[in-house]
Amino acid sequence: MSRGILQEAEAEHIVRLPKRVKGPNNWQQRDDGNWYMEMPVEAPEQWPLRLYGRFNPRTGCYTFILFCGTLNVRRLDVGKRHHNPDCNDVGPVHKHTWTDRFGDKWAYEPSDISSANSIRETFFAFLAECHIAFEGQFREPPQTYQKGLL
Amino acid sequence: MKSCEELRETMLATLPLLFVCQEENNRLKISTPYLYPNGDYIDLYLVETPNGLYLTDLGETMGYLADYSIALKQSSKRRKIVHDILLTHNVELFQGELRVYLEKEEQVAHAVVRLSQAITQISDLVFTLRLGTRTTFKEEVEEFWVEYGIPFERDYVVIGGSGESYTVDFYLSVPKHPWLVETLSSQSRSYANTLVSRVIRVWHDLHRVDGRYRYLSLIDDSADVWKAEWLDQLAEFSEVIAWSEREKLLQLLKAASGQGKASL
Repeated sequence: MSRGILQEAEAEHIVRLPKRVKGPNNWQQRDDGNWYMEMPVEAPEQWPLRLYGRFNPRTGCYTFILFCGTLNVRRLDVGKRHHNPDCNDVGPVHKHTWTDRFGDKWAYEPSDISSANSIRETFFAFLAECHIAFEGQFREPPQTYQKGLL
Repeated sequence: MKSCEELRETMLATLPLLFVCQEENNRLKISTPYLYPNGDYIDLYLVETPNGLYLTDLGETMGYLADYSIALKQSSKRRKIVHDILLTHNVELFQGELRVYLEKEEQVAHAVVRLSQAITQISDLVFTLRLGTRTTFKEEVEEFWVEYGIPFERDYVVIGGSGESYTVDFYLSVPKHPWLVETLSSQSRSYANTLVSRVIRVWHDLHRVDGRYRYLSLIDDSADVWKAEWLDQLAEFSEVIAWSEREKLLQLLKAASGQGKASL
């Protein structure tokens, strides 16, 4: 990670490293009504890695991100369509991958998961791609919106 | 060329197609052609309550900012920017949602445009993060070539003695002998080790072909991750220069080209 920005080769290197997180993954609701989880990621090399998740109970959309510092190494979005810089659209389940040219703006449609999969299945598929082992108990985000009357 | 009238017809017929509506959980989801800065589409939701209609993003914009560790309550400057944007478009921030309340159904189209514009402007706050202005080491080196008028090609493909092709960071068109340049940059010692091994392998294979090029390994020494013995190994196949001592680079290129000025 040079000059505070990630290079594509570094991002791929980080993804390939065997890593682990220790559960449970606790969710917390913030003022904006979304549920969030964050976990430090252990790796054999000194990278500032963390696993982040956000679930919006009002839309059902959710996001998981493998961060290196403040940059997305991999990002999974479910429930939102995406437009790539080459003008191709990708579907409501897509993964952002870090590239030198486009930063985190490039996304592709994964073949192993779809909207039909549960959050649990999607989460573990994302972890598998990122070579992250999960130890402990996985917790689903609460499905309720608890911020009072709409 | 089409007349303005014809273009207008085409445009007016096409524009509505960019907004797709579908009913979802007793509300109308409106997929807009507008994008968050990372390329994800902005979706809006039209909600009907006993008190009337309102259009909302259902908290996705604030969630998007949170993905980039932007919390409005931590920055009065950003709060002020958001407040100003909301004021411009008459949009409300309510429990994390951006909302536009409608008095009449006829206001929906106008509200969709206003709310979309407010969302794009607010989500552009991610560009205020420092990383938005940073460049990679390779880009910094590229700017250096431009600044000193050194002709170069980026991502130059060259074949090694093994027959394998390599994409080298830069080809410098210097009189007498062109240079091939590899940049090495990392914050991690183990990745730095990987980089050094890869570059040594490239230089070694290219050395086996002929003496067409001179070789240069440029080290980003902003992080203390480089072992002296690695640099010694690189030096067996290439010139090695630390970026903090890049004035040596100019001297080296000047000497190699036999010219007395920086611009080659």
